[in-house]
Amino acid sequence: MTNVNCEWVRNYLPLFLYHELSFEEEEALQTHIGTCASCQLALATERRLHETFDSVDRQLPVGLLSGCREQLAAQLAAGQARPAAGWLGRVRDWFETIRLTPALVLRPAGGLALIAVGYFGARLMPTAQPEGSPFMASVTDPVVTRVRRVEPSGTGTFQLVLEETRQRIVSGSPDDKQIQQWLISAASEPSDPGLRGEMIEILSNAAPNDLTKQALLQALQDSNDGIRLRAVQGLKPLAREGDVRRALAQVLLNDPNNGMRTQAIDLLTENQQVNPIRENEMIGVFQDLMGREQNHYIRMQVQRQLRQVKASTEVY
Amino acid sequence: MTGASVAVAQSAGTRADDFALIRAAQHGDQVAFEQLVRTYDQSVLKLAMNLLRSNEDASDVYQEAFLRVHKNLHSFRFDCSFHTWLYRIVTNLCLDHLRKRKVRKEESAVVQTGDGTMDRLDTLMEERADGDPERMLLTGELKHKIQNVLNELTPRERMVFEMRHYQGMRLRAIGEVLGTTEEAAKNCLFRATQKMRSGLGAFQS
Repeated sequence: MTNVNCEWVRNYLPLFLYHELSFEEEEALQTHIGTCASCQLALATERRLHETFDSVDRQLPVGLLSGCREQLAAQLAAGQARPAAGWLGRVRDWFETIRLTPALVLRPAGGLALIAVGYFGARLMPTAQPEGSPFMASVTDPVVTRVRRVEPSGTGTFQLVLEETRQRIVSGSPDDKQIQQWLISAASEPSDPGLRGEMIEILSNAAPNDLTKQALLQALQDSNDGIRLRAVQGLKPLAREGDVRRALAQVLLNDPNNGMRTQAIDLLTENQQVNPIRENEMIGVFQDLMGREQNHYIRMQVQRQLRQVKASTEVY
Repeated sequence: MTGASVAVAQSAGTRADDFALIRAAQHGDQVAFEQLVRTYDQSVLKLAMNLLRSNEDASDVYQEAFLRVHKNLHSFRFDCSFHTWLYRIVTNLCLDHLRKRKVRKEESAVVQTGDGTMDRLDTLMEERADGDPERMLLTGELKHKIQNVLNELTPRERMVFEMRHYQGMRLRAIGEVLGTTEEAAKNCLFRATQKMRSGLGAFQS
């Protein structure tokens, strides 16, 4: 770090007042100010400057916000009306296309007729319901069909290769094993972070067991900050368990998100293990952190923990 | 629970609220979308107003920003917070307005009214100096001086200063919004405060 002198301190006073200095910078600045009368005066001046900015903080003109809201509502309403008109227009265009080039429409119509036969045929087939199932299943919902390939068969007909996804609605408690398995499967759906987040939220609130714990531990690796935060909150009731504590230690060492690391240190320190030998594993983690952690709060917590167990706060 | 962890929990709580609203709005729930707008629209309008100093321009930014959010919300993938995503849109729109103004040789801060010339800033509501003429005068002078100094900042410096000082955003979040690093945002704030400090000179004592 740069030599701490009056010039350096005065340059960094604004960032100090915004709490935007690093832990070391803040400590150095405070130490210097504690012994330098002219920098104390400079700090007081800087505080006045901040207050000056505050004193001219501008309020919104009366009625501007409500006017903006009304205008936005009107624009959204107009925007929602437009697609209807566009849809009608598209239907008109479509009929116009049929009128002009009937052959373009008859071929897909033949294909659609085949799909319809498949669809209604599937609807008439009895659906197998597992007996004694712990959940309720609705009647079979419409099949989502995608035409994978179409090949002419030579006599004016076509052979269609269809992919069908059948939708089914099930309901049940998140504590139910089968429901939990589906939730866990959805919680690792790579293409939909929103769905993953919803699943982790539900699993966090379910009664903890091995399945939910594993899903929450896995979610600590998710690329999405919001999902990881939800997962770490969900692990709170399990924070005394060894594997959870080891996972939290990894979060503390490796997660780039300050919020995650803060949650991890809080869970680790608020839920100390009774077995001091196992807790000794944490001392190494905490000492490692002292050498690399930049976050002021986490450093303070780690330092406090190390002092409590009379361990060195330095790594040799 | 400690202060810091309360702050984190609150922040996570806010995100959870957003999360539910965004998911509902993505599924076409207009009430959820309206709630989402109302969570953020005051601070969005205030940022636009402080940066652009024009009711019309701030209102334009407000409309355009939330219409873009409405149009593109389905593609919001929670890769960043909704706040960051929204502010990216707003700050880009504000920067566009500021750049256009620069092209137009900087729109005059003075407007003609029935009572003569008036600074646009004075058309904004004065909320703190009511009933104290001396303080009103000092605050008026300060406002002019601060506005002049703010005008000397580059659009990005001004943006960073507004978001840090008046919106209370952390530099890391500001960096994410502006598509840069925390360090770059810190340097930008540093330059802005240096310019503000030297520009205000006598008003500081």
